[in-house]
Amino acid sequence: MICVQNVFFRYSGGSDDILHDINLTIRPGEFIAIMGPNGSGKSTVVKLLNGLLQPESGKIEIDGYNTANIKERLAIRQRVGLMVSNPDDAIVGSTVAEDLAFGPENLGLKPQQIKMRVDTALKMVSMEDKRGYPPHLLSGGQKQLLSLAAIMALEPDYFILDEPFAMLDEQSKKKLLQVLKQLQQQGRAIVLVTHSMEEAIWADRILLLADGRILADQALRRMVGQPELLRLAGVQPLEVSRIIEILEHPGLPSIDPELIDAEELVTHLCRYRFHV
Amino acid sequence: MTVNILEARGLCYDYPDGTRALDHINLLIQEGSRTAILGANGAGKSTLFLHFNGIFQPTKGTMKYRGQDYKYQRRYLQQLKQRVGIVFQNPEYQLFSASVRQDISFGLLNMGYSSREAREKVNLMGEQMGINYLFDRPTHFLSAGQKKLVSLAGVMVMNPDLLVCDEPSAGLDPANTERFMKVIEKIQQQGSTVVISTHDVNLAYSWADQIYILDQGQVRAGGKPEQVLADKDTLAICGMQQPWILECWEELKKHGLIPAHQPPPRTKEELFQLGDRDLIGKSLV
Repeated sequence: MICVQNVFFRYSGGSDDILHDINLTIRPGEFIAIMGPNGSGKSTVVKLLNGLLQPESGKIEIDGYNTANIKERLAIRQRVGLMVSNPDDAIVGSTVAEDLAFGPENLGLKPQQIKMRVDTALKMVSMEDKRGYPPHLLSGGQKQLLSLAAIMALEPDYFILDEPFAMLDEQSKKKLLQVLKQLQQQGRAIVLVTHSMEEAIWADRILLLADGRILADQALRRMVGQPELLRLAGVQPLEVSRIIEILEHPGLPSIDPELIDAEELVTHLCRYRFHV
Repeated sequence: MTVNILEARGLCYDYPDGTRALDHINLLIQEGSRTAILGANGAGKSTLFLHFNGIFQPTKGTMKYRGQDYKYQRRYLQQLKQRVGIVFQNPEYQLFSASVRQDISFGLLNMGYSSREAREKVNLMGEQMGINYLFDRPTHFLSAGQKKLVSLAGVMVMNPDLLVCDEPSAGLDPANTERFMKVIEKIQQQGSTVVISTHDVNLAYSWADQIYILDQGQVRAGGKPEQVLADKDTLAICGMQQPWILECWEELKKHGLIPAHQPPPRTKEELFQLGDRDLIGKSLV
């Protein structure tokens, strides 16, 4: 379990706190989306979760290990896989396969196990044909796929992903969201930083950040049903929520605001407005 | 008379290992137009853009700027880069000054503007982009989204003849995407031609005059958005979805809720104004 208690953070030399009194619990098997405007502190939160940054005050524990204790960092990083938003910051190998092997090698795995992890990760992101390819010749989106695969090869208990799909096409995005869902079903925790509600609906819970503070931390459907709250945190509600707002008419039965896709909306309309 | 500001003819590009990244690309960008380039990851969008200001030289084929073939000589390319401004997909490739203000001023000062003129232009751009509050911050302390905004501002402030943005909305929140699109609109009204690449078909459909779809280094389709994005087969081959506005319009037309002769709406406001709202309302009761 990840436990964040009363955390404040400021960058060294900075005069203001970037994060204010953050409290958060992430349990194994949970899928959480962190959302909020640019500069709200999302990336700072995720860098705190694997001990890359240290809180100014407050405490962060991963399965009981304190991120402030340097001796416990190895145990933390074996459990927490962090994918940073800029893929160029994470690529170290001279070929795609070497890059994927880097993490498992540092975990001390045997060559056969490393090969298996590399093969599985390549398959997950459909990049088997790029095994021997130099990473610097990959496109921006392919680099993002590679850094996501590198985290998968580590098989951590907690996947912390900072805007992993920002440069990806729809097909790759959908496939990877399915992979994340499978990992969740296997008991891994997923923390996904995103600007897109279409991605966030794969999560069970949404955490809204604004100006370094937690604005709300609620179950997915409850959050979907509050488009005004989402807008307050600079998040664009789902298209279906916007359609529901338009379809609301005085005198007509109101529509459940917590619907998340067109299929649910059609079923709801058939039942309560068409009486089919 | 319409002027072709940029033209690619039979453009091919091979990476040093022999991989063909672009395969006989033909495209035409008219002055003052808005072009969106769509395509899956690895389709060749960024590689194509790097040909637009001469960073890459084609293996085969030609690039033309205002009807003249590109010359791959230092002096010509320097001039070309002042006219064709590229915003890279990854802002880290573009930001290098100590502060945000210095970074946005860099291009202007290199173009010969005085410090005062540069300051005025940078202030105005900062206001339009809503980033004045970042001016004194070190660039490396910015969040990823803020870096993206600063890199866009640094190119747009030079008011290039042709503005090329590689996935400008990647990493931006909705409010900043909207703000950026408004600045683009303004720049375009002042005479610039704009080309963007994006995975966002909804944005491309509502914004562009023409769309090209790239797939495995080739142009699979090109033309008006309502024609290119109506072709579901091509979209499926390229792993793309139809814009929701177009999909809704087709469904409404199929059910007789809007007249069949109506041209497709380009924005959600146009969609909501379509047809007889009473008719749609009654059918829902």
